[in-house]
Amino acid sequence: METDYGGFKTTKFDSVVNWSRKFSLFQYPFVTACCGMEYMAAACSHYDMSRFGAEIPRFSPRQADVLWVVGTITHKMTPILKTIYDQMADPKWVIAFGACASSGGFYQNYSVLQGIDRLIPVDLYIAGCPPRPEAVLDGLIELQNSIQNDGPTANGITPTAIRHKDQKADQLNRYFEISKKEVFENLQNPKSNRISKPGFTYSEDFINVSPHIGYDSPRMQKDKAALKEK
Amino acid sequence: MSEEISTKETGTPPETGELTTLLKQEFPDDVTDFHAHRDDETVVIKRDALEAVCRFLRDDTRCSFEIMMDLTAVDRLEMNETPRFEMVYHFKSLTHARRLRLKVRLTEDDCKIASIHHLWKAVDWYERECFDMFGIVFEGHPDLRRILMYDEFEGHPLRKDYPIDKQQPLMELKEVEERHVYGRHS
Repeated sequence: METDYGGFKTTKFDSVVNWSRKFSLFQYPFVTACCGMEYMAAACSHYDMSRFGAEIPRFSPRQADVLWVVGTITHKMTPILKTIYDQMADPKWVIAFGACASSGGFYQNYSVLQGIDRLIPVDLYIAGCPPRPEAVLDGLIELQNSIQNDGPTANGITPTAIRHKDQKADQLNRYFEISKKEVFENLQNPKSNRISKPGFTYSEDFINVSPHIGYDSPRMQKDKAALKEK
Repeated sequence: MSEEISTKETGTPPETGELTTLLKQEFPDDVTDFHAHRDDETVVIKRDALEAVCRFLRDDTRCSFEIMMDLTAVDRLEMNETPRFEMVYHFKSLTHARRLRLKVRLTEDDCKIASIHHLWKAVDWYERECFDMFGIVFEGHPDLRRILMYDEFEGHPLRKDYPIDKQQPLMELKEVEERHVYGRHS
């Protein structure tokens, strides 16, 4: 075949396979809590997850590629989640959607699993309580990058956040800026029902009420420093 | 300021509502305490009288409490109250459009109480929940086992002496790097 480009194109076989995988992610939504609302918002027409090839939720784990663990997982639920994960055919990926799935969230009590990565390997953590649809889509794109560059992760915890370190650090900063701005505007909005008293203003310090949590926490600072070193 | 507290402070006798009067009249030996707050009456009765009082509340036309709204327990360990447990029953009457709160106090050593599942069917699962969370035994219940927690779970998580973050995993879990550097352990 004669073309302007010389007739043929060389590539790696893995690259082609990964390319096809990343744009045909069949999802298994394991929805247990309020994060499901944001998942639905991200999947429905307004944000339209199908633009990224992740169109059809499959309610059989045999047909699914990505396990979305959306919401709080209790200890009573752990055998079920493990079974679902084991039933999925390789290659498979797991997304921890929101604070509860990632770390137990604010449920540090007798019943809740403190992060699904204690049970099954997780490829991607999406922060938020619940995450915004933009964050969900960003996470999905991040997973696609991960699939293209690294292929499927069979075993072990391989958080994308560490592999795509620079991108992720920028993302985290961006998320923080966006959420801070949004919260701030929401609080300043006189129509917002959060303001009950006239003349009551929130300082910026109010948002960073706890120095121990969030993206500016000592833990996150440490992570960022570690990423920069690498 | 609620009426309950104000009456306690001033020392005046608490307001007796219509239902309280009725119950005191019908069960003079069994009503140990009572108060009313904004027309919602609360009556504290002795444990052994529960079944008779509940039957009266359901069947008597002056009461007609058709609905058992809620049933739970309170662990008053950290309130330094004795006896330790307090059962709380909420009833609603559609006929008379009013509610009643019934309380029964149980000691820690002998936290058993008669089941009233034969009076209201809804009681069944509430009593199982209460047993699961507080370890209160409902005598006569047809199927008293855990309803929320799994069978392997030991103890009763809503008791105040249950360690607040003690977990009993069902599956073997992998240790991950500690993320909870903040919070109550720091």
